[in-house]
Amino acid sequence: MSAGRHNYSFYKGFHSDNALDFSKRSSFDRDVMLERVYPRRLILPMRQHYGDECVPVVKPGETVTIGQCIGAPAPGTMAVPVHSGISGTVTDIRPIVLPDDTTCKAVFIEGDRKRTFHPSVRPRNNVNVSAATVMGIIRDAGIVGMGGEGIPTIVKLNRAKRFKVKELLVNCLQSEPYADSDYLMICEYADHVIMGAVAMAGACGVRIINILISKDRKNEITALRSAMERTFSKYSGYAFNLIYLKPRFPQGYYRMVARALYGVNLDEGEGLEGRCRAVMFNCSTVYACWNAIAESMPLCTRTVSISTEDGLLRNVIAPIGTPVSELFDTVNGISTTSKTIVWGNCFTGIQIDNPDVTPIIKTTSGVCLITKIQDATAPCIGCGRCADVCPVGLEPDKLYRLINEGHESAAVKFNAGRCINCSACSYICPSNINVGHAVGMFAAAKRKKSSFPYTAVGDRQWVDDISLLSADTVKAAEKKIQKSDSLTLPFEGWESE
Amino acid sequence: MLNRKQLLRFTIEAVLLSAVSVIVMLLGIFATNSSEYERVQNSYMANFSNVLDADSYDRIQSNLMEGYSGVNAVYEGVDANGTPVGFVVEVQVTDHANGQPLNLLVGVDYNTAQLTGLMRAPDDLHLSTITDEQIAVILGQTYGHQIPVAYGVQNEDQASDSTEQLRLEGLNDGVYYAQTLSADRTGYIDYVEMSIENGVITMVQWDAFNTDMNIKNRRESSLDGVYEVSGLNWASQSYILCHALIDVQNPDLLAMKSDGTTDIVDGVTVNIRTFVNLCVECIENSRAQFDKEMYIAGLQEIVDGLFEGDFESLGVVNDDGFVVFSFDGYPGAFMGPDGSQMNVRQRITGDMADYSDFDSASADAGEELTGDYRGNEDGVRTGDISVDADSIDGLPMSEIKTYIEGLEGQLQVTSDIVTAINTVYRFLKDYLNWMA
Amino acid sequence: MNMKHSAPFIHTEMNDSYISIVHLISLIPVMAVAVVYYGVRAAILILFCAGVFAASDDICTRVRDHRHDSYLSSLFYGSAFALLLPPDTPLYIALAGVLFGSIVIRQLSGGRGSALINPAAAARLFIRIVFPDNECALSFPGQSRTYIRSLLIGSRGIAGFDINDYYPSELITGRYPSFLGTACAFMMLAGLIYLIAKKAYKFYIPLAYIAMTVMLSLIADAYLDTSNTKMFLLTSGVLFTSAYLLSDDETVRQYGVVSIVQAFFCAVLTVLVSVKTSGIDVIVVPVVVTGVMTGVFDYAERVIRSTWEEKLHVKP
Repeated sequence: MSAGRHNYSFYKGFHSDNALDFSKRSSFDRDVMLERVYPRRLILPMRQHYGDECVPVVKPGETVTIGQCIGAPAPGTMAVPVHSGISGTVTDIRPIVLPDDTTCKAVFIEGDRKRTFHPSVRPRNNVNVSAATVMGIIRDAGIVGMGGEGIPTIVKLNRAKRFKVKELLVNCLQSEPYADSDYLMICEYADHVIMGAVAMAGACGVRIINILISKDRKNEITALRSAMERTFSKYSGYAFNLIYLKPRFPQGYYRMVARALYGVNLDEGEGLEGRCRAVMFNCSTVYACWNAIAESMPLCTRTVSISTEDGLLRNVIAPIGTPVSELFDTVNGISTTSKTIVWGNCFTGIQIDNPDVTPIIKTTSGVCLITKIQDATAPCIGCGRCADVCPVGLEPDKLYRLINEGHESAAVKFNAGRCINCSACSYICPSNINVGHAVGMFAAAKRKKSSFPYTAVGDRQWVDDISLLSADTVKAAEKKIQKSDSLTLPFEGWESE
Repeated sequence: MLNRKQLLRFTIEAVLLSAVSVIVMLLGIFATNSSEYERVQNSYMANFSNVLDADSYDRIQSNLMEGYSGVNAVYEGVDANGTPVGFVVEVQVTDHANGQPLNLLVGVDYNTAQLTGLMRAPDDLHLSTITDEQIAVILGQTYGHQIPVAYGVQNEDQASDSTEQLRLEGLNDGVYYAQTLSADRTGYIDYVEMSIENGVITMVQWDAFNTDMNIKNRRESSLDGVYEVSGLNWASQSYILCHALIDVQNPDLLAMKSDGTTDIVDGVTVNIRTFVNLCVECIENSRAQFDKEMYIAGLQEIVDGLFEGDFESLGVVNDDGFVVFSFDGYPGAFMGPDGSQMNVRQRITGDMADYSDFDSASADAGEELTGDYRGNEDGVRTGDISVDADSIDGLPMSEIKTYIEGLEGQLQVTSDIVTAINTVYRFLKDYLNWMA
Repeated sequence: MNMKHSAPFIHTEMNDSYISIVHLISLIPVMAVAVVYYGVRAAILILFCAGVFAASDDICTRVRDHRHDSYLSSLFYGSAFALLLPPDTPLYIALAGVLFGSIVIRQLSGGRGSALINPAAAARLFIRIVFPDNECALSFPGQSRTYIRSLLIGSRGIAGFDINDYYPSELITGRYPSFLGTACAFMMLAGLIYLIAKKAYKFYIPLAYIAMTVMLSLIADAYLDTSNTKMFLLTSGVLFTSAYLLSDDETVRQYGVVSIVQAFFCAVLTVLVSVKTSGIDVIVVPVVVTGVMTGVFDYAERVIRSTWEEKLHVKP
C-alpha cells in the first residue's frame, strides 16, 4: 500500500471563500450530527436515477417493511429497484414531479414507527462472494451513483468490465460548499468504504484501488488509512493508493478527475472507462455496495447534509424518500420562514417551494437553507474572473454576452456546448450575474444528443451525459417498456451463497 | 452590497492600514531628516556661498512675503554657533527691456546691512536680457555697502570723501570697547563696541547687559517688548544712533544737548549721554591702542584685585564674555592718585594722557549732516550729489544709504537690478522691524 | 413548481463592492504619503476628486436611467486620479480632469464595465495635454502643510531641482518633489501587497510588469545611457502603475496568458516612453495604450488558441 501521492489537480476551479469548514469539529459534534432520522412518511419516486422508471410492486393499503422492494425495473429497461426505508402502509401511488422536472410515479408510505425489517435484511455469513454475485447484489439493491450522477452502479460496473479497466477510483472529493455528508460517512464507516471498494474492484476485475481525497481532510485520511491497513493484509492482491488532490470545486467531477489524474480531456460521450481505463464511484455508493453485500441492506437510506448559511450543519442518515420538511424538523431551532430551500447543494441544487411533498432521493446529498439570494448588482465589468475559474476553459462573460445578444452560432463556435453547469462562474462573478445558468441552459439545449455511454440492456436512451445539474437533463425519449408478465423482484427469498 | 461584518472588518483594516502608514511615514521622515538636511545644506551652500558666506542656511517662512510679490524665498545664514550672519533673498524683478522675469540672489549682512553678494538665481530661466556681466558690474559698485541703493550719480567718492573729511585723526585700527562702571537703576551696564578700519569708524554697537544674568540684554529685551522706551524701540534707536555715529565719525557731531538728547538724529529720543561717553572712551582707547581684549582683561584684573580671589570663581563673566560687575560700592577702585576718577584704561595702564581731540577735519557739531536721519524727504544735497526723484523703489531718498553710478548708458538695466536690492531692503526692514 | 432562483445559491464574498473597497483601502498608504507630506491641500484634492467623480458618475447614471452603479469604483478612480496630480494643482484643473474621466471616458462608453481605458489615467493624460504648465506645480514635501492657496491659484512650482542630489533613503520614503501618490515606493508596495493578500489582484501581473520593466531598463541603461534603473524604479511611478492601474478589472484583463502579455506590453511601453520623456507620461501613456490594446490581445489569444487546438487536436 503506497503512502499516498500528491496530485496538483487542475488549475481552474476554486476553493470557495465561504465554505464551512467542519474538519475541526469535535467527536461530540460528529456523534450528534450523525443522527438517524425516522420520518413519519416517505415519498418514493420510481425514478431516481438515469434510466427508466420502475414499476410499483405494491398497492395502496399494503404493509411494507424496511428493505422491501417497492418498485421494480421492468424487464429490458435501464432501471434499478426502489426499496422502502421505513415500515408502514402504502397510502397512495400517484405521479409526482420532482424539482428536476422528472415526472414519475411515486409510492407514498405512512410509517408505523415500528422499524420492521424485511426478512431478507440480515448480515451475510460469508462476504467472500463471487464477482457475479456482487454484481447481482448491487443491481438488486438499487444502488446508483450517489454523488449526484445517478447512474445505476451496475451499468458502470458492466461498462468497466467491457472496457477492461485497470483502476477503480473511489471519489471522496466532495468539494461543494456546505456539503459534508461524504466526509462524515468516511470517518464513521471507513472500513465499509474500503471493503466495498475491494468488492467492486473484484467484481470488475480490477486490482488497483485509488482513493481520491482532498489533502486537507486529515481526519478522513486517517480513518481511511487505518481501514486500508486493516484490509491490506486480508486482500493483499489489491493495491490501495491514497491520492491527494487540492480542495477545489468541482474537483470531484469525472472530467476534472480525468484531467488531474491522467492529463486527459474527455470529449462529449467519452467516459473514464474508455479513455482512461478507470472507473470511478462515489464513496457513498461504495459504502452502499458493501452494506448490500455484508448486511443485505438495499439502498434505502443515505447520509444527507442539512446546512444553513449561519453555519449550522447536521449530517443525518435518512431514509430515501423522506420529505425535506421532515429533515428540517429534526434540527432544533431551524426555521424555514423567509428562506430559500434548496434541494441539493448550494451549487447544483434546485430551489423548492413545497418541502412537504419533495422527497430526498438516492442522489440527494444535501439540503440547504439560504437566507438571502443576491441579485445582480452591476453590469458585467469584463474582469475575467469567470474565465479564470471555469473548469472547462470557457470564457463565460463573452458567451453570456453573445447569448444575450442572440449570436448563438458564435456562442457555439466558442465552445459553449462544453459547459458543465457547475455554476463556478456565477459564484465568482463580482456583479452577481448568473452567468452559469444562462450559458448552461444554452449549452444543454444546443449540445449534441449523443448516446448515453452507460447502457445495460434495453433501448438506448439519450440523456445529457455531462451536466452536473439534473435540471439540465434533456428529457428521455419515450420509454419502450416491454411488457412482460414477469418482473424481477430482487431480495425476495434470496439466500446467501 | 456588503454586510455589517464585512464593513466592520474593512473599517478595521482601513484604520489599521492608515495608522501603520502614518507611523511608517513619520519614521521614514525621522530617519531621513539628516539626509535631507545634508542635501539641502549642500544645495544651499552650492547656491548661496557666493552670495553670503555662512556655515548653514535656514529657509524662512514668513507671512510678510505675501506682501512682497517679488520675494520668492528668504534664507538666513548662520555661523557654526548659530549666530545669524546674514540673509540671502531670492527676488524676482521684471526686465523692462523684454518684460521677462529676472531672478536674483541678494546677500545682506545681518549686522551691518551691507550687501554681501548679488548674482543670478540658479533656477532663473535666463529669459531676461540682463547679462551676468551687467549684474557683476552692479555688484562691484554695491559690494560691502549698505542698502538701500540709489543710482545715476557720482556719489560714492563724495560719500567716502565726506567720511574722510569727517573722520577723526589718530585712530588706530582694531576693536575697542568701553562699558559703564556702574549699573543704572535697572541693573543695566551699558557698553559700546567700536570697530575701526583704516582710521575710520566702521562698526558701532551699543547695548547693555544686566547685573542679573538671567535678564536678557537691553536690545533683546526691547525687541521682546520687555524694555520699553518712548518712540521707537530701544534696539532701533540704538541702531540708528550707531549708524549715525558711523556717518559722522565724531560723537560731538551728534549734537547732544544738555539733557542728553539729540535733535539731529531722526528717530532717537532716548538719552544718548551714556552712549556718547562710551564712544568717547572707545575713541580714546583707540588712540591709546587699548583694545577690547585689554580692556576686558583690565576689568578682570581690577575685580580680581578687589576680592583678592580667583576671578573665575566670582562668576561675574556672562556667556558673551563681558564682565558683569557694578563698581557702585567700590568708589576707590578707579580713583586716581590725585583723587580724580579714572577709566579702565587709565587705571590699568596708568596712562593719563589726553586723547580727547574730537575736532573733525571740517564738520562742526550741529551742522547739517548727511544721511537719512535728518528725515528730510525733499532731497538730500550733499556735495555734488543730486538726484531727480523724491523716492526710488518706494523708498524715500532720505533712506538711501549707497549711491552708485550704475551701468553707463544702461539706466533701465541698472534700475531693474537696483530694484531687486531695494526690494530686499524693504522686506528686511519689515521683517526685522528695524531700519538699515 | 415555481422556480424563482437557480443555482448557485451562495456567492463569493468578493463581490463588486468588496473588490472596490479593497482597491480603495489599498490606496490608503499612498494617500497617507500625500497627506503627511503635503498636508491639507493634498487631503482636499483627493477628497474633491473622489467626490466629484462619484457624483458625476451617479448623475450620469441617473440621466441614462440605468440601474444604479456602485459608487465605490468611482471613488477609486477619483482618488487614483488625484494621486497622480502635482500637489499644487488648483481645483479647477482637477475638476476638468475628473469630468473628462467620468463623463467622456466612462459614461459615454457605457458606464461601469464598459470603459476601454482607465478613466483615471485618461483623465490625467488629458490634464497633461490641456494644462501642460500644471506639471510644474510641485512642492518640496514636508513644507507648507497648511498652505491651501494653491488650490485656487496653483503655484509657480520649483522647477530646476535635481533628483540626482537626493539620497536613496529620501527616494524610498518619497521625500522629493513629485506627484501626490507616486513618490514613496515603499507605500506603493504596501498597497500592492494588500491587494494581492486580499486576492483582488493576481500576483503574476505586477510581477511580470515589474520584471520586464527592470530588464528593459537595464538594457536601456547599458545601451542608451539613460538614468539608472534603481532611480527609475523609485522615482518614475512604475510601482503606481503596477499596483493601481494594472489592477483595474474593467480595463485590464486579470487572468491567464492575456494578462501577462498585457503586463509585458505595458512594461515595454513604459521603458520606451521613459527613454523619450519623463514625468506623468511614463505612468499614464502605457496604461492608456494597453487599455486600447486589450481587445486586440484578447482576440489574438483566442485566434492563436483555436488555431493551436485545430492543428494539434488539443482541447482545454
